[in-house]
Amino acid sequence: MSAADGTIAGRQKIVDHGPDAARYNIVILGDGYRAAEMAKYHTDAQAFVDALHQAAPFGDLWCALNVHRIDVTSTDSGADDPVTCGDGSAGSGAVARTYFDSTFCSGNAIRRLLTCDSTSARNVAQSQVPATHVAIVIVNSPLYGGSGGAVATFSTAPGAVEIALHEMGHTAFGLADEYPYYVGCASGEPGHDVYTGGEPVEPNVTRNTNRTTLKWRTVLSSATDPLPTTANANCAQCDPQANPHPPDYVGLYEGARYMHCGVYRPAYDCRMRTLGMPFCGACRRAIRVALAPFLPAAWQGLWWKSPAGSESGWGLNVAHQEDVIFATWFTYDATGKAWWLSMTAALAGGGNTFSGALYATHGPAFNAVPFNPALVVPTAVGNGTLTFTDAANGTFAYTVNGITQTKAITRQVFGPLPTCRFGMQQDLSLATNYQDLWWRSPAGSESGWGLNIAHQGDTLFVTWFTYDVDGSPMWLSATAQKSAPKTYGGALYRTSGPAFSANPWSPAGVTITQVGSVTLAFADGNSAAFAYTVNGISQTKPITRQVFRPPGTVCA
Amino acid sequence: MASNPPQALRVTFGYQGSQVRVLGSERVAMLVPAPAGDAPAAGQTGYWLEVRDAAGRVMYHRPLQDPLQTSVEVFAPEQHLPITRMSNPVREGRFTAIVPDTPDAEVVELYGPADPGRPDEPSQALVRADVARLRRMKPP
Repeated sequence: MSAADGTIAGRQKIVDHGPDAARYNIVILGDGYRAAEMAKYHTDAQAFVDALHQAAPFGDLWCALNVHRIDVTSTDSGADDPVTCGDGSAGSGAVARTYFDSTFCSGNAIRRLLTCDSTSARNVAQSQVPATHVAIVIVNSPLYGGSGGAVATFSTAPGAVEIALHEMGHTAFGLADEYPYYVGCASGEPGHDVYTGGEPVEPNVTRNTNRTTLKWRTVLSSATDPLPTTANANCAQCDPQANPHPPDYVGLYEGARYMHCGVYRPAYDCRMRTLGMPFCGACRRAIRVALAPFLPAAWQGLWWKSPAGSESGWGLNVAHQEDVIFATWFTYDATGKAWWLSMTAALAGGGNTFSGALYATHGPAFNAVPFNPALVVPTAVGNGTLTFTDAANGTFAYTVNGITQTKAITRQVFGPLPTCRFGMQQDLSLATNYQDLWWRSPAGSESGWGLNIAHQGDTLFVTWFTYDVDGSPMWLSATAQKSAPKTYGGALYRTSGPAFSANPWSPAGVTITQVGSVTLAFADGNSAAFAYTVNGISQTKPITRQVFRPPGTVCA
Repeated sequence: MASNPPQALRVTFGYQGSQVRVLGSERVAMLVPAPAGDAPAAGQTGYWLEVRDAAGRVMYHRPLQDPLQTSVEVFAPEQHLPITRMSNPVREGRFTAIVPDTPDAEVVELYGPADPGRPDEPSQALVRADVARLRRMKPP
C-alpha cells in the first residue's frame, strides 16, 4: 500500500490568519478516506480544529495559527487491522489500500498502536504547504488508536483526537511526558524509582525545587506555599496521594518523566500526563511562549489619542510581554501638573483586551542618592482597559478617582515603525532597536522609576517616569536624536497641561519647558548609560530592559 | 506581508543507532517557535537544537522530544487509564527540525545523550553543521 493507492485531491486553508510565512501552520492529512468519503473527512478535520480551539491556550492564540487541510483519497476505507497481534487481541483482518498505509498493531505490539507512513505524510504536507510546522494524520477508522513521532496519527474513534493534542505537545512544543512510569504504576516495572540525571531540557519537568529559579515560576499559583507541593514518600512506587489543591493549581509535584522521584511536574494532572485533561498552567505557558512570534505584532510602543495629534501632550507607553502589558500613562493631574499612572494589565479576553488597576506612585526624588525602592508607594486610583482593534488602533477606557472615560488611541508615528514581538530574541543584548521599558541596572535595584523608549529610525522618544523633589510623581520627556553609533541625545522637557479628565482636552493648554538634557549611550541591546542634567543636577545611571515575562519583547 | 519574509532552515537528520547526521536542508520562508526557557547548560539532559553566532553565543535553542523515537506511546480509549510506553525496536529513521536562518547564524548543533538508551546521561553535541553549508544543501 502506498501513494499508488490514492491521490492528492486538493488543499484548503480552513483556518486563515494571514500569510503562511507569518503564522504557525498546522497541516491535516487524511488516510483511508475514499473519494466518496471526502465530506466525512472534511467533517473529521473540522472536529480536530474545534477540539484544538477548545484546548487552552490555543483559543487565546488562535490568531497565531493557520490550519491547512490536504484532501488525500485512498483506494479503500479504513486501515489495516491484522487478525492477530502481539497483545493477544483479535482484529478484523482488514487490509486497506490507503495512501499512507495506516495500520493498527504496528510492529505487532499493541493493537491500539496505529501508525502510518509518517515520512510520506510529512513530505506531502511540506510539498503542499512549504511552511508546515506540524502535520497530523486522521485515519478513517472507528477503532481507537493512534501514535506520535514526527506526525501525530489518530483514528476517528471518540476521544482519539486527544492523542493528537498530547502528541502536538511533544512534537510542536517540546513538552515532556509527566507520567512517572513506562508501563504503568501497577506493573512493578523496575528502574523507575529515582531520577538521578541532570536538569531536563523540557519546559514542564524539572529537578529544581528553588522557586526563584524554577522554570515555571511565573505561573506558580502561590508565591508562598511551600515547595515541593507533594513529595513521594515511597520512591519504589508512584505517589498515590491525592491532590492537596484545586485541579488547576500550579506548584511542584514529585513524579514525572517516567520516574517516581527526583523529578517534578507542574500540576497534579495535565494532558501531558493523562489524556483528556487540560494542559496545565506551565504547559500552557510553554505553548504560549512558543506561539508568541506567530501572533500579530505585540502592542508595545507609544500610543496617543486618535486621530493622531488631536490631543498632543499626553500619551501611553505600552510594554507588552507574553500576555501582560505594563502601561505608563503620562498625563496631567487636576492642577495641570505632569502626572503619570501605571498599570499592569493582564489579558482579559480573546487576544486584544488587557485590564488592570491604575496606580499613582510616590517615591524618592529623581536625584536621591541612594534611591531607595522601599520608599516607593503605589496607590490604586482606579482601573483601565486597553482594547486593540488592529495593529495601530484601539481604545483606552479608564476610571480614575471616580471619573470614567474612554478614548480612541493610535500609535504615535515619528519615523519608520518597528514591529515588536515577544520571545523573538533570547539574548536581548543582540537587539538593535531599543524600544522597550528600561530601569536601573542591576535589575530591580531602583525599582519604582523607569524609562519608556520609543525607537523609530534614528530617533528615540524617551519618557522618564520618576519623582519630583517632594516625592510626587513626575515625568519628563525628550526627543533624542542619534549623534553617534548607539548614542542619542536631546533636550529634556517638563510639561504641564489640561487635567487628564478635561473634556474637551485641548493641546493648546500644553506648555513645555526645557529643564535639562539627556544622553543615552547603548553598550548593547540590553545595556546603556542614562546620563541627564535636570535643573543643574547631573547624574548617570546604568540601565537595562525591564523583563517581566522572559525572554522579553524586542522590536525591529 | 513584508517583502522580506523571515527565513528558516528545515534540517533533515538521519539516525542509525546512536549515529546522527544531517541528510539535507531547505530554506523556507517561515517563522520558528520561541523557546520557553533559558538556553540549556552543560549537564542537562534531553535533546535540543542550538543556533550560534560567530562568537559562539546561543541565538536560538529549542527542545526536541525523543527525535530518535527510542520508545512509542500507547493510549487507552478509556481516557483516565494510563498512557504507556514501550521500547521501539526500530533504530533508524529521520526527523526534521526548523531553525531560524538569520544573517548572524553561524552553526547549528544538535544535542542529546551519546547513547539513546541512556537518556538521563548529560547531553552532548551529536551533530554540528555550518549554516552556510545548510543553506547550500537540498532536502533529501
